[in-house]
Amino acid sequence: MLEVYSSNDLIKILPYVFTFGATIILLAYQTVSYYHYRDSLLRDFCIYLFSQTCYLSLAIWMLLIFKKYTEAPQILLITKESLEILTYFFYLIYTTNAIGFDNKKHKLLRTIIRATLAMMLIYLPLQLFVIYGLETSNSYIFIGIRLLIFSLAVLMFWQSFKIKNNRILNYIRLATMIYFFFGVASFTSMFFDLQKYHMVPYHFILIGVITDLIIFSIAMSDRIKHLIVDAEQMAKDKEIELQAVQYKQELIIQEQKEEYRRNIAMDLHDDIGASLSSILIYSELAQKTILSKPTATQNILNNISTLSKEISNKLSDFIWSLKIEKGIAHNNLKQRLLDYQQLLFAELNIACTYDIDESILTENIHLIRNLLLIIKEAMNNIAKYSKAQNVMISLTKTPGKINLLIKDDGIGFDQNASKTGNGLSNMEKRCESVHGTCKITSILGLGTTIEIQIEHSDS
Amino acid sequence: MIKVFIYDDSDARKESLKTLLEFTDNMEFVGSAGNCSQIISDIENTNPDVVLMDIEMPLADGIEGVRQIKHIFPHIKVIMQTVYEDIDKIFKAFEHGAAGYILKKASIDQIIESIDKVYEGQVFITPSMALQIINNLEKFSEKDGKTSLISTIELQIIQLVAQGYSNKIIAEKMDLTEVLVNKHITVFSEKLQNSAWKG
Repeated sequence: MLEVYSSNDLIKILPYVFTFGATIILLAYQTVSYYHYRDSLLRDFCIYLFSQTCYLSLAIWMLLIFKKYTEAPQILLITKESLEILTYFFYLIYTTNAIGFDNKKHKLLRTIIRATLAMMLIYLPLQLFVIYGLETSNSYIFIGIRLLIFSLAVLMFWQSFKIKNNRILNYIRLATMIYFFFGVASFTSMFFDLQKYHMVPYHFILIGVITDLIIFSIAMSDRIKHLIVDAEQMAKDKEIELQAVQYKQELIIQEQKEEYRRNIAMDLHDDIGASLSSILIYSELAQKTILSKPTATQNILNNISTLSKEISNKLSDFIWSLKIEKGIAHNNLKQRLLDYQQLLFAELNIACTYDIDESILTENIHLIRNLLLIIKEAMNNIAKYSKAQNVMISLTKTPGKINLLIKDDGIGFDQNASKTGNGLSNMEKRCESVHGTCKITSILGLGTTIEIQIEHSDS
Repeated sequence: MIKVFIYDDSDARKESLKTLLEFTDNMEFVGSAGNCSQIISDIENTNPDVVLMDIEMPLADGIEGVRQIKHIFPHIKVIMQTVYEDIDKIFKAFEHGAAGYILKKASIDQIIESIDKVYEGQVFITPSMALQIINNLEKFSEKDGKTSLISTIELQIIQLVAQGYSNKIIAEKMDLTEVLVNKHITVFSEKLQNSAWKG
């Protein structure tokens, strides 16, 4: 069969065969590479190479059988041209992804590329049904398409300077430029007689393809080299980040412990320190006055007794809150308030209703203690001054908030008059120490309402 | 009669100090408050000679209190009182012009003595504070940047104060009169007040 071929024909086929060989070797190599590194750009490159291989193998086969494309049946011609279009399509996808431009920033480029891709996809069926049906030569349309693609290469080359430089960009620039150059050369050569050089215009494009393949291979190996380095660096960074996170968590835990200790010390000081120092003053004073002023000394001793009881109560509350925190308390908040109520209201005929959400006891110890002491302070004020008959105490939780409401139907007080006693300001102080807001409303003859809201995290 | 005003956020503490003042012959309790938010009207209404000032109070604390009092009523003497020896806060108070400092665990004799002394224009420093001063001398510098000009004799006296000796004993030990020892301590404290505390 071979003897029918003139040497002229064989020389024409040779560039095809050479390009095909280079493409198929590269395809094998890059496919293995892709299965190793799983890089999306390698995949795009392989698809392009595969498409190129298919096209070239068909072209070579057709040239071997029919010597000239024009002698081949229309269906084969259309298939060959469809494959070529597909190859451009994948070439475009590969280069676009390799440049890695930002979709949001480069709207024009994106639109152009999308439009071209869409046009290619539309052209494929169009050529099958319309052109095949008309049985006319479609070579002019085809040249037009090639020209469009080459202009696109120029456009991408120009646009690529607006993109933040990355590792592959320069390779792609070079490749598109070269492809464009050979494209123009191929187009121009159609107007010259190339027969005496044993060449066809498509040979120029094949040279462009081979040059591109070499540049792309270098780009891909460079990319893979850096992928490995980047992956190592990323692993290192991740480890450092992890250590930093762990360190931060430790710091936070330490800070929480420190704050916990500080709060306990502060609470002890606030609740008990002042009373103890008062007892110290009273007792020293009593020693001095016991002989000279026995009646006055009696009062001083009474004060000591009252303060001692107070300290004992406060210590008991303190220990209860510690036990609550450890989950070993015998009684819950309501029971504790009931005990206090019995002590305080027994002789007063005050009815007290409670609505207590005991799950609040899982909050921090400082908050629990202050809530308990605020309620107790309020009950104390009610017992001392309010002449109330009914008291309602509600402690509830809503998302992100703890709500305390203490309401009585007593005589109320004039909120404009200067605050006597320290009860209310103490409550406000405690409320402030747990970052809560305190609203006290009192109407003469109608009673007093204390509303407290404390922000809390649902953790 | 020395008129005394009390700032303390604890009712019990205020009550007991009031009782103490009522039982002390040359002193008079003129009023008390839980914090310094109304300090100007408090002082104007009661016109005290000496103010016993708690450092830790809600809303407006004792440091702010002493600053305001010395600014508007420079003749009034202020004695600071705290539970802990928070050296930074104490020196801050001295910088603003506090005349004395006692711990809350101080005995009634010490409280009375401190009021008497500051009323007479002296400075009252407890041994523990004197020790703190000695330990932190390097933190003092004059406000214009020069080093502190504390004299040797002042330092010796302060060291004896730190060891817990009374002014009388110090006078004997140093062969000075008690008046002179007091004078030295006062001058020393004035130097502290005029120096910047870099705590």
